[in-house]
Parts: sequence; structure tokens; C-alpha cells
Amino acid sequence: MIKASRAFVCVRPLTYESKEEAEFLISLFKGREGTLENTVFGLLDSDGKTALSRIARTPKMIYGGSGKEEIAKLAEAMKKAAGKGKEEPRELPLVVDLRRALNVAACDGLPLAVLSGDDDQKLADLVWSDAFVGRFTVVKVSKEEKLDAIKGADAGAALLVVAPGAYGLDGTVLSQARDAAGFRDALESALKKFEPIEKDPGRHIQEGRRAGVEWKTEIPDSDPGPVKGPKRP
Amino acid sequence: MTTLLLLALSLQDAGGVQWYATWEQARAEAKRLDRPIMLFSAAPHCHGVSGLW
Repeated sequence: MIKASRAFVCVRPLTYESKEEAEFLISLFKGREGTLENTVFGLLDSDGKTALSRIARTPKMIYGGSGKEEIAKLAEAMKKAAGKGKEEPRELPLVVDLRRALNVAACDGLPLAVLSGDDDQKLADLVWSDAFVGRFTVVKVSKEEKLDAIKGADAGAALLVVAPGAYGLDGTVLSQARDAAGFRDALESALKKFEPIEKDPGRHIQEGRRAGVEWKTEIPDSDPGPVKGPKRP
Repeated sequence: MTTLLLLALSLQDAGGVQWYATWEQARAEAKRLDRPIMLFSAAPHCHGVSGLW
């Protein structure tokens, strides 16, 4: 499926983090109570409008299967839908801001590349290269941005590569580069040092709550929660 | 969410899925590159606790 994904533009909008995106997502798929649920999945054509698959909450709801079988079925569907596409340099795939980027990196268990300055395409060419594709979350910050949440950050660095904390609220620098000439070494060095935090979901939630971790969404979370069984008499 | 965890899986040597994070950028890239789109929105928190899809 990962190989099949290279022929696509893969987008993961953050649910409940943008009013405009929420309106778009709910136009694609209304959930059980007519609201936006926390996941929406589908394949669309390059016009961003024509559906190449049904739209549902997950690939499983469209293709069936479970676990790795679900992913295999999705890969098969993607191979059938993939066209040729243009071989041109891709843009840097940016999370909208540092706060959300740290969280996304923590969720994915990936290091976060924090770019400051204007060397977007140089970093993009590396991020999309075979050596690094799919191995980093990426965000761009202004030179004025406060990096208090990142331990060990050099404010003058053009690139920081950061290990996110477990809850995505902070991070620690793995490597950094003063200019674009050092980007490749910084990415390679970070990958060698990075150790993803293994998480048990139940414990993560329990300990997070105990620690007072509470993620503030941009718009209210309207997911109705797990499907409830029939009420007992 | 099993699917998301699997999609987030980064194989040691191959790397994982490279996600765009905004619909606006993804839509523009898909048009520019004439490539289909895989869309999978997700909330980066579970029961209000961040760091988990």
C-alpha cells in the first residue's frame, strides 16, 4: 500500500482543526447523526471532486477485510485507480503550525522536521526522495516563532529535526542544520538517533488524563463515539 | 484506530505514506501533478488526549 501511495496525493486533514476543512469533509460524508465523525476516507480524482471510491469512515467499510488484509485490499484498489501523473518536484507537505505538527508527529511516531527560512524546495526534494519519503512530519515556522516547546533548539538553525514527546506537546532536538547544505546530514543523523515511543492506547489515555493532558480542538468534536448496542430491558 | 496505525507505519527501509496535511495544498498538488487523491481525515487525539489518533 505504501508503494501504491506514491502514485497518489495522500492527504490527511486534521478533523476538527479547521472550520473550512470540516465543511468540506462533511460535504463528502455525513456520519451516523448527520455530523462530522473523526475519520473520513475516500479516493478522489485529480480534480478533487470526482469520487473514485465510495466515501466512508475507513477503507474497511468500503473494501472489507481487517488489519493487514484491509490494507492489502486498499492497495489493490489504489493500483487500479492510479493514473500516470506528472513527474515534477513535489511541494513540501506542511502541517499548518508547530503545535499541531508536534502532535501529528507524536501520533505517527515520526521525527518532526522544522524548517525556518526559505529553502522549502531543497527540503522538499529531500523529503520526497527514496531515502526519506514517509519518514518525517514537516512544518515551517517563521524566524520569530518561539520554540520554547522544543528542548535544545538553536534559534538560528535553518532546520531542526525533533523527537516529539509522547503527547505531542513538546519535543527534543535530534539534529539541526544552519543552512540547506546541512539538511541531508541532519535528516540522516536524526533517523539514526530517533526511537519512536511505543504506546499502549489505554495506558496512554489513562496516564494522559492523570497528567492533565487535554487537546483543544479548533471546532467542537462532533463524533458520536462508538456504536452503542441495544438498550437492555 | 487500526487502519490509521497501519497507515502510519513506517517501514525501516521503505518509509511510510507521505501525507499532505491540508486539503487546500493537496487539492492544488493533485491538479498540478494530475494525480488521484487518497483522503483520510483523522483527529490527533483520543478521548481528548493528544499523541494518539
